[in-house]
Amino acid sequence: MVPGYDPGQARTSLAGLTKPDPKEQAAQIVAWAICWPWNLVWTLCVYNPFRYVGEFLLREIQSALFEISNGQFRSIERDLTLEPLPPPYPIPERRAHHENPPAQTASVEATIETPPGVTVHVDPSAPHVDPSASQIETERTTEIPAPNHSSTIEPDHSSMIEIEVVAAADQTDPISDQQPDEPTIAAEASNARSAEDIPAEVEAELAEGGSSDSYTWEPPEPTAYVPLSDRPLKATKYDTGAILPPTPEKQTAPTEPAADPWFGKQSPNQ
Amino acid sequence: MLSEILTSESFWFWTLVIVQSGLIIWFAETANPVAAGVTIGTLVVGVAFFPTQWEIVGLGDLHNMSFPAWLSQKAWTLVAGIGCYVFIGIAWATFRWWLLGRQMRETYERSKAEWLAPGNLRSTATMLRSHAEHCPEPSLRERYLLWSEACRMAAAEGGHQLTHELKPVWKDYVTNGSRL
Repeated sequence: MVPGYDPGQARTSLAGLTKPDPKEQAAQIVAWAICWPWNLVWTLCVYNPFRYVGEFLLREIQSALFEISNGQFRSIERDLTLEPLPPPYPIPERRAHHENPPAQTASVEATIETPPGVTVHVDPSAPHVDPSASQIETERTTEIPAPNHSSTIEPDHSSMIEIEVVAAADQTDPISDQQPDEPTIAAEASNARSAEDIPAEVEAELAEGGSSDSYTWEPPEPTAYVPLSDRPLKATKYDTGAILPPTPEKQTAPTEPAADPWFGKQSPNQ
Repeated sequence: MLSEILTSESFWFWTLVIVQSGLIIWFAETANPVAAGVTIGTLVVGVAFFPTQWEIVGLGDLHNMSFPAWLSQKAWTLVAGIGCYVFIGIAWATFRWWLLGRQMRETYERSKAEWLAPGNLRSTATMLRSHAEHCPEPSLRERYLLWSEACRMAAAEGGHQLTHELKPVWKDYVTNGSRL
């Protein structure tokens, strides 16, 4: 009878398999101890325990040999293993509107307020400007505009030029949830978002006329280019009346100043 | 010639040794240590009836002296021999116990691998469905159907993997064998 097995089943059957308990199988163990010479012969002839012993020894020897080869080839494998190295410094996450800048073909509505005597030319045919969306309104401004999102030129408070750029209907901003039929409201919402992003201490610093720190710096909102003149730049030759010396026939090498130490250090291959 | 063999002391001696050894192995395999011990005792006593074979088993000195004198002279040797016999017996019993666990585990692993083969899982699913069709008890029928579906799904996935759904079926198979 083999302990742990149903006596009615064969030795190799799985039925009645239970974990062998030494207390319950004490008689079997004593019988093995008393009759060990006969049981040893029988076990060797029938069960061939050398198979298990041989497998165990072979596994141990293989493990030891693998350890030896791993130890010898550790540096070689480290040299031949190509692994992606981590970046030397953490890469900050890029802002969404940096990755997806708004389309440059957006039409704009420009309102330019000029004091009397100041003339502003707006070219409707210039690129990036929708001619149908360009408007010029000339009127006297009585209020001081907001410091951000409006470019203000203040020579003094009496004369003020304000250029206000409002996104048109077909402008797409990926980070603002503007609707195509409400461009002005969306632009105002963008202004409110930019104002809310500024921390309180930076806002106080800006109110005092200072500049914000670098870590709170945000790139300006992209605005359309509004040229003030379509006249191309060209070089103009002015006659100053100066008399230039005549050009020599032969090009003479410039004289080397003797006192300049750098000219005295010529490399051999020059 | 046959009469010479049958009348020779050596023949009966070795016959006694072989038969007694068979009995000892049998008793040891059937976990009967008392009978095995008695058999060993009868074997030792039986050697006394074959004086011509004493030299083979190392008892040649008994021809020159009486048994009590031999016992007193070889007392420590006998004690050491019995001690070594018991010590080796304990060591052998421990190794045999390990071997038994190893055999049981190997049998279990082999049976599990055979049971988890896709073909066997399909046949088990068919058998379980047949059981469910002929089972009058609703709860047992539902369980057989569930197990059948688990076996069918495991076979479709390639088998050789004891999934969570297959564990109750496998446990019932181990407990009850093929009598699911």
